[in-house]
Amino acid sequence: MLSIRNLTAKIGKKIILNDFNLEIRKGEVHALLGPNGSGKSTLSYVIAGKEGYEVNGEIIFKGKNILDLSADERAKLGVFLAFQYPIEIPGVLMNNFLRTSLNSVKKAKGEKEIDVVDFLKLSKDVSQKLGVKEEQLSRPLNVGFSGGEKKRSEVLQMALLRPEIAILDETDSGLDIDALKLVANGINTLRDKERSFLVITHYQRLLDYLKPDFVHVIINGTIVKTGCSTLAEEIDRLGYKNFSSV
Amino acid sequence: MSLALTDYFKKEFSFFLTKKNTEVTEFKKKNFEIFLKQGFPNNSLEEWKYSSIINNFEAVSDIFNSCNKEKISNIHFENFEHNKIIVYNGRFLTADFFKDDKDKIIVKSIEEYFNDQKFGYLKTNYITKNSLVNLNNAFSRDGFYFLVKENSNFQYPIIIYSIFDKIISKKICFQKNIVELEKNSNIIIYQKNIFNNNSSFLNLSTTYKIENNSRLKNYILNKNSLDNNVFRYQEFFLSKNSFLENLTFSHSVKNTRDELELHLNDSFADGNLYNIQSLIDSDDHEIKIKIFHNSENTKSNQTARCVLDGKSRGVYQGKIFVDSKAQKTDGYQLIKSLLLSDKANFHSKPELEIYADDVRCSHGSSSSSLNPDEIFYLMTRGLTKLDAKKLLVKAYITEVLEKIYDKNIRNIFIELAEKIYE
Repeated sequence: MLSIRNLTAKIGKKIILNDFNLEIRKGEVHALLGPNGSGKSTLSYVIAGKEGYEVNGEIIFKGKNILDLSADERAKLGVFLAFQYPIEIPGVLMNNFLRTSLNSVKKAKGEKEIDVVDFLKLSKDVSQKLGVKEEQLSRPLNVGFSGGEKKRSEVLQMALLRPEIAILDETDSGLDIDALKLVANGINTLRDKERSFLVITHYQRLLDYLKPDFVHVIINGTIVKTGCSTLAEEIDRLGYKNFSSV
Repeated sequence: MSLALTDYFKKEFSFFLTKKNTEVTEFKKKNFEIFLKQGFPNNSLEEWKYSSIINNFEAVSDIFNSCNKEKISNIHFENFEHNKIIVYNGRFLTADFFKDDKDKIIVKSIEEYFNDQKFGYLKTNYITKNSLVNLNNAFSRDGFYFLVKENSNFQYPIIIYSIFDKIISKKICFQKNIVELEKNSNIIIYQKNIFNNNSSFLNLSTTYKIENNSRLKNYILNKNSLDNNVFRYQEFFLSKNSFLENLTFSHSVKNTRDELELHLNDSFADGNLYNIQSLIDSDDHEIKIKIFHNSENTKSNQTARCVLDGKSRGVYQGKIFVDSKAQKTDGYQLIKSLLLSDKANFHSKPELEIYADDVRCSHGSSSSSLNPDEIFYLMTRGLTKLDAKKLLVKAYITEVLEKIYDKNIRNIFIELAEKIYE
């Protein structure tokens, strides 16, 4: 599904990802933990196709190196990034944006575009399942949303676009326990044998609900340890002091 | 060139000197005297520092004189129910109102209005220091006059289709309009300007008088992609508890100066001025606004969104003046510009002049380019870079357009916003 090989990313002379390697197979959930500044968000940006980094190595997705593709081409291929800090865009109504986005992806896949009526029915249905208030859909994108509303909005977008690989960048940060459960449930309902997740987090509590297949620790842009869910529990207890860059 | 043009105007004006002395001819003479005294504006004057319109008179030859025989066809009317007024080359032609709205308004040409000798409010123009307004007052024979009767609420908005045709290419055209709202009236006006002429100098002036408890919503589409010089002057006089919402949407505009004066003359007068500027290529558009808080408890709001691409140039000069007796004034001004090209430039000059001590006034101005993080966010949702940029530009403008009260008119502007950056 997703194979990251010898990935290096830098801005100017600063190396952020250093010979990073990761293999995610279909249906797997991987968690990535690491201290601040270890390169977690950069990894998510580089996979999603953000410009501004000098990148070397390979990101193979569905058998294709996607490094030369633009962010929208990657999205159309099935890559989704749930942002740590979703962008507020005044003037763009969430419903209109979601339909435009969904139709862009559908069009690329050669599927029939969805009309307004069917879309409203779909978005209402998915919103209810994720605990997103209906009135939120008629507001400008992320404007005036609380931290929890923004994160649920990201999961809603993911549920509508139905990507094949979803990268969740600290989707749990800033959530109270009820919101966390809602978001985790939303992610769990999307889990199936064809869809994979890379969950970037600082905390064990989201992983309690998601039950990842693998847990990785990233330090200074490199994975230094891989294990199962007990690794996340260990980090929760002891922090990162026992890990050092390879 | 302006000197030669001044001589030309002197020659043309001699016609009025032979006319018998009436209040109208006095008014015109007085204005022409002030014009001669002040002369044409030039870039050495602070108020005209950024004006391009005053340097482009080479192509114009003489004043356009309209006649009554003009007929026009093929007007693209908006496809929702509205009252229609048609103005052709500055001359009022027809008014077509729905039955329920017809008795609420008097519409006539400015010529008829002048002949009626009732123009008390125009006297305010004697004191204007703007010589192009003086010139308009001296020469204008064309235009329209509205009187919205007391306690009138309209079922439908009024759309003024103002068409300028090739016949006035290379000519000078003066138009003077007056709109009066009597007490407790409420009206929505959309002024759709269609320019088919080229290399003309259009000097357009409108005076709006809004009486106690009346509400005017006035929307202007400004599109002048041909090589005309347009000077549009609007002055608003607001009385007690009156309300104004004025939006000018300038899309693809060459050599145009939009000048507006807002006089908040009595308490609880509330003036809201919205400006959208969307410029491309070598467009050049200047907005000049002066707001006078002349009484206590008055409120003003200026909001502008300017999007500039190519080698275009945008100018916004906005001044809030607060008189010493205008305590409890609330004046707000926020000017934002979005530069889509390295070669586009925007000049903003917000000013406050305050003589009262218990007021709340703020002003702000910012220029930026599109935020790459916003573009990236939209691209991760499947939008191409171009579509992402288009959506962001539309959003930037739509934030102001959402304030338009009338849904049909709002949709016209939103559709236009969608076409920007195509």
